Amino acid sequence: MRTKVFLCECGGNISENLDLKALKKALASSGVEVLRHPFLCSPEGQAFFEARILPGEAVLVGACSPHLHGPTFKTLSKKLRVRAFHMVALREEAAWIGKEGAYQRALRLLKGALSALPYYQAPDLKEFPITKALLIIGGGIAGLSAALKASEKELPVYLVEREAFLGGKAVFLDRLYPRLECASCLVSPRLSALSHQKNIRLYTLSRVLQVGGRPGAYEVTLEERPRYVDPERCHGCGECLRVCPVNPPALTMDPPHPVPRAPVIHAARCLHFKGEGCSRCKEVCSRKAIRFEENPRLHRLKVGGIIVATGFKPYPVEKIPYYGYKRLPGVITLWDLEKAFCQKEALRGFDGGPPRKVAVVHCAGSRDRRHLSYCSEICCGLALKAGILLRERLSAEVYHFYLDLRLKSPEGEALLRRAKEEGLRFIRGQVAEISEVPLRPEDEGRLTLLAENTLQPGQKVWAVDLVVLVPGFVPEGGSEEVASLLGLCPDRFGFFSPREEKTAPVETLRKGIWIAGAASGPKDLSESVLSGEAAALEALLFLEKSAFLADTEWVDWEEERCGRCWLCVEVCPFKALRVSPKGLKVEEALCCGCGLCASACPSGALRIKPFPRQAYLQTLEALANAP
Amino acid sequence: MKILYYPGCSSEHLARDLYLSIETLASSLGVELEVLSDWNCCGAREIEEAPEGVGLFLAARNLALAQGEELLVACSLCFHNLKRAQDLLRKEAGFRARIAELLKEEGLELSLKTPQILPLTEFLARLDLSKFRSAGFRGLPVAVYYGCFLSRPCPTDLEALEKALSAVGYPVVPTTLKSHCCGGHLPRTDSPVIKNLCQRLIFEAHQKGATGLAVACPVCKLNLEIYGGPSFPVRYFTQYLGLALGLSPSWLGLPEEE
Amino acid sequence: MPPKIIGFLCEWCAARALENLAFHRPELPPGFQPLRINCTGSLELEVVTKALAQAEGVLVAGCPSGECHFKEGNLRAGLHLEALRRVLSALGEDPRRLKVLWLSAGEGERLGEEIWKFYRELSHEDRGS
Repeated sequence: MRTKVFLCECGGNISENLDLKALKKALASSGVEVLRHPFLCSPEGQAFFEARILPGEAVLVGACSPHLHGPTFKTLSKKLRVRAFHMVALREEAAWIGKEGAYQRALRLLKGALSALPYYQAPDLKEFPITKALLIIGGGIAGLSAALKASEKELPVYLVEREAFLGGKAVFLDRLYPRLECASCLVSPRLSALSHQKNIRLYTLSRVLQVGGRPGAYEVTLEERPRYVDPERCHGCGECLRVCPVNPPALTMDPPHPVPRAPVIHAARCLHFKGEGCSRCKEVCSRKAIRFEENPRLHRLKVGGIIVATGFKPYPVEKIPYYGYKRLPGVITLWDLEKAFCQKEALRGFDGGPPRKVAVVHCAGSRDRRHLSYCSEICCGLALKAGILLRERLSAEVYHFYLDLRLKSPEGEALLRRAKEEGLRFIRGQVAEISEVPLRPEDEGRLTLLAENTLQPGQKVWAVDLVVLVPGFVPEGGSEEVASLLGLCPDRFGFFSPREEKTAPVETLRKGIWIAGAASGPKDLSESVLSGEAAALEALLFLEKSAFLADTEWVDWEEERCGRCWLCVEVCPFKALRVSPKGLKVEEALCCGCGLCASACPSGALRIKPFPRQAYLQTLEALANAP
Repeated sequence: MKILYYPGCSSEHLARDLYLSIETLASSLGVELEVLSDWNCCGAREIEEAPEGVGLFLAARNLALAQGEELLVACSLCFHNLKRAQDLLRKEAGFRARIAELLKEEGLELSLKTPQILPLTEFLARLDLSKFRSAGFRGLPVAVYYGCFLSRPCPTDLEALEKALSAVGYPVVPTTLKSHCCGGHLPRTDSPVIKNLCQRLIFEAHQKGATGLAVACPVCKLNLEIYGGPSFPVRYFTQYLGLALGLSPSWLGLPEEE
Repeated sequence: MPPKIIGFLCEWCAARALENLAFHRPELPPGFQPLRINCTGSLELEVVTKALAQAEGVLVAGCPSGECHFKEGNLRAGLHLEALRRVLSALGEDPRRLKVLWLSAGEGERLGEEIWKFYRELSHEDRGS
C-alpha cells in the first residue's frame, strides 16, 4: 500500500516550532512520500492535496486538530477514494505544547499513526431519514428569534420554556442601550408574532426530561408542570388576581406583556391547595379557565434537531459578603432596578425614602479571581443606561464606580458624553465595602461605601442611599442538566462551547444540536437575536436535507471468537445490539460506534472498524521504537 | 486533657490579664497547659526590620521545639507568624534547608511533621463549655471581634467566638465588621486613620445593641480602648468566659469591683 | 532519563482540553505523548497494559461523570481501570503509574497541572527506588 504524508506549516504556527525539514527526512527514510504545504487547508492547499493523491493510497495528514479541519480532508479523501485516511494534530499536540521535545513528540505522533494506518478502516456511510421538526430549549429572546425564523418554513417547531411566561430576561428590561429606546417595543411584537404562528407549539412550565435517538431523529420527553389556568380559555382580564386573598396573590402574571396571556397559580401559596377550600378565582372567572384538577403531564416529541438557548442569569452577588446584597436595604442589582422601572415600582433607599444619592457599582464580582474571572462586556452599557435613567427619573446624584468602561457600538461613547453632561460622576476604582456602619458620624442612616479612586490616590468614603450592583453573566441554572442530557461539554465557566469559536459559533460538536444566545457566553440583545436566527438557519439547512448521511457498520463481529456471553449487549448504552438466531445483530440506526462493546468483550471478538485495537497496539509499538 | 501551649512574649507584659485569664480558665476546665519548653519570641513585627529571615527563623525555632499533634497559641500575631513560617517550611525547600542548617548549630532537628497551630478561639469553641456554665448566670449581649490575623491570610473559624460565648449563655449580637482592621501598629505613625477604624468598630457594636465587646488579640484591645472611645467594656473573650463560669474577676485579670 | 507518559485523551473532552491549553502555549514535560481515543469507555485494557509496559506512566483522561458523549463510556472506563489497578497491585506493580482523570473541555489549565503533577510524582518515585 502506497502511503503519502502531508505536513502543513499552518502559516508558521507549526513550522516555527518544529523542524519540518528534519521531520520530512526522518519519515522519508522509512519509505513513505512526504509532502509539505504552507497552508494545506487553503484552496491552493486543497488543490495541492487533491492533485497528489491516487485512488487506493493511504493518506496521513499532520496539521491542526481534527476537530478543526478533520472534516475538510476526510471529505476530500473520500472523494479521491483513498484506502485509509488519518489525521494527527501536529499543531496542538506537538508544536504548541512545549519547545523542549517538540520534534520528538511530532515524530512519535506521525510514526505511531503511520504504523497504525493499515488497520484503520472507514465506516460505511448510510442515509438516515430526518424527522422534520425542531425543538428549541429556552424561550428567551434567542429562543424566540430562533423559533420565529424556523417557523417560516412549514415544519413543526416546539418551544420549551421552564418559566410560566416567554421572553426571558428581555421582557423585564425597561430601556435599551445605547439609544434608550423602549425595550418592549422591540420585544413584545416578537412575542405576539410568535403566538400567531400556527406551527409553533409552546410548552411553558416545562423541562426536558429525557433525550434519546440520534441526530436527525431525536426522541425527547418533556415534563409540563400544571399552570392550573387554561390559556385557551383565559383572556387575561386579571380579575382572579384581584380577588385572591393571599398577599402577594397566589396567581401571578408578572411580565408587562405576558405570553401566554393567562396567569399561573403557585400551588405553594394557594389556599385551595392548602385545603382551605378557597375558590374565589374560580368563582370570579367568567371564562371558566381555572383548572385546579390539572396534573403534571409528559409529552413525547420526535424532532430532527435541537437548539439550546438556555440563556444566562446574573451572578449571585449575595456571594460577595462585603457588598451586603440581600442583607442591607437599599442594595439592589441592576436586574432588580430594571424590573422596578419596568413595573413602575417606587425605589426605596436605605432609610426607606426616595434615594437622593445613588452608587452604581460596575463589575460586582467580575474580573475577580474569587468570583468571576472574566468580563461580561455587556454590563457596562446596561449600567450606564441605568445611571442616566436614575438621574432623569429620580433627579438623583449618580456615581459610577468602574474598572474600565467597555462600551460597545459606535454610539456608546456618545451616550457616555451625554451622561457626563447630565452630571453623572465616574470614579475609577473597585468598591471595597458597602456597609450600614458609618465611618464618619454624620453618615449615619445612609450606606457607607468605601472605594479607591485610582485616578486620585487614596481610599475614599461615600455615603449613599441606594447602591445598584452590576453583576456579570453566568449560565442559567439548569443548563448543567441540559448539558448532560444532550452530551454537550460546557467550558470551565459552564457556558456551552461551540464547535469552533470563530467560524462555527452556533454549532456544537454534536450533529443536529445548535446553541443560541447567552448560553454560550455573555451576549446583548442584538447578538442573542443574531445567534438565535443563525442557529435556526443552520437547523433548517440540516432538517431540509432529504436524509442525514451517517457513518454505519462500525462493529465487526468474529463469530469464531465469540463466547456467547453477550456482555456487549448488556453494556451498549444505545441498545443497538441484540441477540438473534444468527448471532449478534447490530441495529445500524442506533449504533454510534462508541466502542464500549469492544472493550467489554472478554474474548476480543468485536472490532470497531475506524479505530481497532490493532491500530492502538501498533501505535504503541512505534512509540516504543521512536526516539 | 493536656495540650502543648505557646504563650508568646505579650504574656509577660502587655497582656498579662489575657494570660492570667487563660490559665484560670484552663484549670477550671480541667485542661493542663504544657508550656513549650525553651520557647522564644515568634518574631513579632519589630523583627521585620532586622536582617532578612531573622523573624522567620525565630518562629521556625519554636516549631522545631514543638513535638506533638497540636500547638495552642493565644496571641493572634504569634499565630500568624508561626503559621507563616510553617507554610514556608512546607513549600520552600531552600528556606527549609537554610533553617535546618541554623538549627543544627544548637543541636535542634527540624522534623518533617510540625504540629498543627491551633488558635485559642478554635480550641475553646470545640470544648463543650455549656456544662461549665455557672447556675443562674445571665449574660448581657456582647459583640465579638476577630481582627486581621485570625482572618487573613490564614483564615481560622470565624464563628468560634460566637460558639464559645453563646455556649456559656451570652447572647451574641451579629456584626459585619468582625474581621475588619483595628489599625494594628498604626499608633506609632500617629495616623488619623486609626481613630476612624476603631470608632467605627465600637459604633457598630453599640448600634447593634451590644453591652460589651469580646476580643481575642492584645493589640486590638489596646487600640479599641484608646482610640475607639468605647462606652462599654472591651474585654478578652476568655475573661467573658471566666465570668460566666463564676470565676473571680481578680483571677481573670479584671478589676475587683466587676 | 525523564519519565515517559502516554496520555490517552478522550476526543470529546480531554483532547479538546489539551487544545484549549495549547492556545496558551504551555511547556509540557517532554516525555508526555498524547494519543487520541474515541471514548475512554472504548479503551481496551490490552492497550493500556501495553502502554504501561512502555512508559513509566499512563494517563487516561475522559469526560466528567454525566458528560460522556456516549452516555456512560466514562463510567465503564472507571470500572475497567479500577479493576486494572487492583490487578496491578496484585502483581506487585505500582498502581500509581496508572492515573485516571475526569475533566471537561474547558479545563485545559487543570489538565496541564495534572500532567505536571503526575510527571513529578513519577520522577520522585524513580529517584526513590
